[in-house]
Amino acid sequence: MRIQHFVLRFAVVWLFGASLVSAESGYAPGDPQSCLGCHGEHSMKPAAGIMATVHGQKANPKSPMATKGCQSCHGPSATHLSDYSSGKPAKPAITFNAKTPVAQQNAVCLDCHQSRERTHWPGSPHEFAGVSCAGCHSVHSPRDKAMHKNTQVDVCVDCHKEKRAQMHKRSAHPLAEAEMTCTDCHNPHGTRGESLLIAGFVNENCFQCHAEKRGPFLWEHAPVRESCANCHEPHGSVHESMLVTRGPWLCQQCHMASFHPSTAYSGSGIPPAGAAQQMLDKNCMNCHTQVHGSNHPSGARLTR
Amino acid sequence: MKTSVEQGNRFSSTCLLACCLLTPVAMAGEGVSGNLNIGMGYVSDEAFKFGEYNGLDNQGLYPVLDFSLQSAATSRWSDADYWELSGNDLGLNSRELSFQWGQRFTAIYDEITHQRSSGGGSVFVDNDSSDLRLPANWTAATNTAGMAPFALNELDESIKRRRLKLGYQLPAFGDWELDFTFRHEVRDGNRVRYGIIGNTGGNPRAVALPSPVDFTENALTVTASRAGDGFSLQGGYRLSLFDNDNTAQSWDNPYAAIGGWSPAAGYPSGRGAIALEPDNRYQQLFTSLYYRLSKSASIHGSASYARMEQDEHFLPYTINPALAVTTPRPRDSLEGKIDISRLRVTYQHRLTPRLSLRVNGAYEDRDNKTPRDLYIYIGGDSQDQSTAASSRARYNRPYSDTRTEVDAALRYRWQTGTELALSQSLQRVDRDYSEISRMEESVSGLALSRRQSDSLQWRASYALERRDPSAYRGDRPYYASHSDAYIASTPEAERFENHPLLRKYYLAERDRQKASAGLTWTASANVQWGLSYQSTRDDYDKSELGLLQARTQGLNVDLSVIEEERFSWNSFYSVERLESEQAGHSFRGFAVTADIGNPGRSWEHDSEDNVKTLGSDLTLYRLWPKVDMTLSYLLSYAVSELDTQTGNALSAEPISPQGDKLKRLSAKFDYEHSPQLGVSVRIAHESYEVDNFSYDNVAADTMANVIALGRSSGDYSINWLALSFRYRF
Repeated sequence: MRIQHFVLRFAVVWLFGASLVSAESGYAPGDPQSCLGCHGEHSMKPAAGIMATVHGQKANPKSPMATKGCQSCHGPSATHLSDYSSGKPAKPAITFNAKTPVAQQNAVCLDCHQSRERTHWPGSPHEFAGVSCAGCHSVHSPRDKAMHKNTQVDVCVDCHKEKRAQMHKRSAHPLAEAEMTCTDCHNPHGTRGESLLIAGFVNENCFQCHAEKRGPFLWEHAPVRESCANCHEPHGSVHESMLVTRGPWLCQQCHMASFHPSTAYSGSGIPPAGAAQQMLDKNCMNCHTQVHGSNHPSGARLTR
Repeated sequence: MKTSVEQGNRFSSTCLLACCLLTPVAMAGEGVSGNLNIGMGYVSDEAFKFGEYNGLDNQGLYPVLDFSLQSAATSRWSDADYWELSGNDLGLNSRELSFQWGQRFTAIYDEITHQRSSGGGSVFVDNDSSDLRLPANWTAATNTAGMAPFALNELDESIKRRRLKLGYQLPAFGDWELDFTFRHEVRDGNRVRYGIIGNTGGNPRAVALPSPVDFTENALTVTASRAGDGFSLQGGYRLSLFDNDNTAQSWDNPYAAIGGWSPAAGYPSGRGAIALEPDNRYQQLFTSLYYRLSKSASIHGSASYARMEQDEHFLPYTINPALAVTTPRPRDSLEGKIDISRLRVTYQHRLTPRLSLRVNGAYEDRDNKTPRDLYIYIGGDSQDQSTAASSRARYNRPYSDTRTEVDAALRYRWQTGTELALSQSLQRVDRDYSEISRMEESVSGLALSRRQSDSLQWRASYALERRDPSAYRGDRPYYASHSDAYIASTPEAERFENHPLLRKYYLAERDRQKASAGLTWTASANVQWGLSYQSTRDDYDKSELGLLQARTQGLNVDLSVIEEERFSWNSFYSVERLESEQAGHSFRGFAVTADIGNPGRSWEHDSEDNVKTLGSDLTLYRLWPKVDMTLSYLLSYAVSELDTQTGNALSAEPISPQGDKLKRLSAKFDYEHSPQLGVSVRIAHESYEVDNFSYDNVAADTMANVIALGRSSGDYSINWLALSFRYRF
């Protein structure tokens, strides 16, 4: 494999050798053919897949291939083909790995991708944390894993490891089934609000799929209006309906009125010892069925 | 009522037709490549949890059909030539069809069915109706024990979501670009909610209601954006219209009248009605600006103004005409309106090549302009209306709040690969109708990371969040919701609802400590290890009742071994522990003062959830000539320990551990006969065991005052097999 690689490299150098270094700019001619000579589909560092993507469109004036080819992103890299003084080919001017500062890498991408959903990138949590575009995206691949429904979650959980286990819990959004993606809720490039949520804020984010809970309702449930995350863990929970803890005890963390709301619930309410209506099936919601708000004039207790 | 099935079918057909029409247009290009995957699958059994979202919810055979068609790259390839049409899982209930033309146009149609429960049924004749009727031979009683054995009408609790998303981008005037996104979404099916008849905590009688879901949402977003050298500008408008075909659910009361109800509220004349989710509308105007002030400094701002509205016609106070209504509703509909204004400004400055500063300022105002009125409600369709001096005369509380936040962060990068980040934020929230009028919260954070070598990186972080509310007035909601006449008639010492020592957890004073650490070790060119730990601890030191402490800890280990063109092995193991402690005090309305002062009526409840998840995927390339094999294993195991301890005036019994265990073993074999032709075989075995006292041994008539569905927790053991042929062209 390595021998083939060097033979190929030699052939490229021999073919383009005479004019490898442009006196003015340092750009190598023959791009992208000269580059793909070594970085073909089955090479050690394949890049040929880019030609099947929008970045490979030569007749698209916005595509890198329409101008300087691979060097539109990698910078003037004639020495990459000609300089073997260290025993290995010299690096391209810009590489998208730890050898190049993240800000410098990202500047290349942002040169074209600054608008639309990247508008909020400057100052965003990922930008400030030094995450590089290439850390998530693979532009050389015909299918960027971060952009594809079936593979995107794998990219995100590579860093957000605790989320990988959470989505397999008993009650979770269908991320593990690839019926949802992380970007259905989050924009990793930055947003106008908290937690990189697309809508910027928890409830408005949830309402994008659960518009029926938007209201406003005649009888509001205060913690619901404030944040769905007060009661729900959207990445997965071992409790029903992604609740942060189990009812009736979750409800009792805020409701301790006389009689049944303040009762001490225990095994005495479970068959065969007993059958407390506040513990079985939907527990408190067996009666207070409208916990997200009621629009019934008799719904002050959220039972209507 | 519209027939949701017809509506859904029309919707599906339209989408498919649109895509079929688009295909030949798209295929007129220079070259086409693609994949076709066609075959059959088999599911050995029916289980709601197995098929909860993936469309494999029915036992038996199903077709496997996936395809993709795309334009092939050419020497003069442009954006206009680029298109792709693909369909995934077309033989299942959860399927997707998408079309993309260049960067300009996208159309995605997807369906997903959510199976919500297993087995069981309702006592009503027609489970699909919004007006539920009991069978003619129904035998009523005041509780389930007195009822004659009743039949259950089998219920499929599932909701199908069909969604069409269209996106179009076009260059507009000058350097501006316009994006249009339109989404049409239909949800139909049914869910279970309960309906009660009764007017105090002591006399409710409930029954499970199959409740119809016929939701439609249309959403449009128009965005104009422009980017130039050192700046970008964006502005737009967002509209969402939600429509529910069923605004009410009514049902026959299966219970005979009991003491405290009007006799007319019982079977056979008594009926109940609840309001279903009302139609609503959301609009938002938004804008944002990024401007590079200098080579090292930039400013970013965004602002938005949104309005939520809801004006569905109210139902009457009661559905039962025999119940006396003496005071009419204060209005016929809510005219609900919430205006949300937001502003955020971020300033970022690279002070030196290694030191970066970020400062954020944010303001958010949620102004609930919904009219506030006094409603004299009728408790659970079971009594005559009372007067404005009763506890049933209530004001609605349109909650508003205003938040302001400032935060600053500094990050320093050493040449050695070490990074240090310090952050501090301050937030203030002002609320109305709430137990606290003002909350201040500060968050101090520290994060350190280091690239120790080319093969080893680690990071650690710690944050301390301090929430400091203004004086907690537990009786504030009481005064805000009851009528003046009722308040005046109540002894001053009893003017509260919740125990005075309760502190609601989302409003209470809290110290939160968050810590995390992780390392990545590339042991060799082929082997990478990852280890991470995260912990969150919440202390509610000032709370005597309510949530006292909560703690979450998680440990994750992952291993990746990749030998190019031979095999790849990716595994992870996660352990998570979630603990909470809460305290309560049981008291009775007729003995408020005595009970509250009795320490024997105090109780504590501890909860501990332990979750272990193990996942492993091994892919062997060219296991046999032309055969790749992937073996996968997943184990998700959760155990919840629940413990309630009480004072000597109360009693408690232990609860056996609750939890569930999901195991899945699957194998996939891909045989590549030629670059064009291949065969794929997928086999899986999945088992699920669950202990959940909510449903275990709970029949429809187990509870005295609740007629349940009699459903099960959903244990299963399922085998799944799929065989498909792939053709690549």
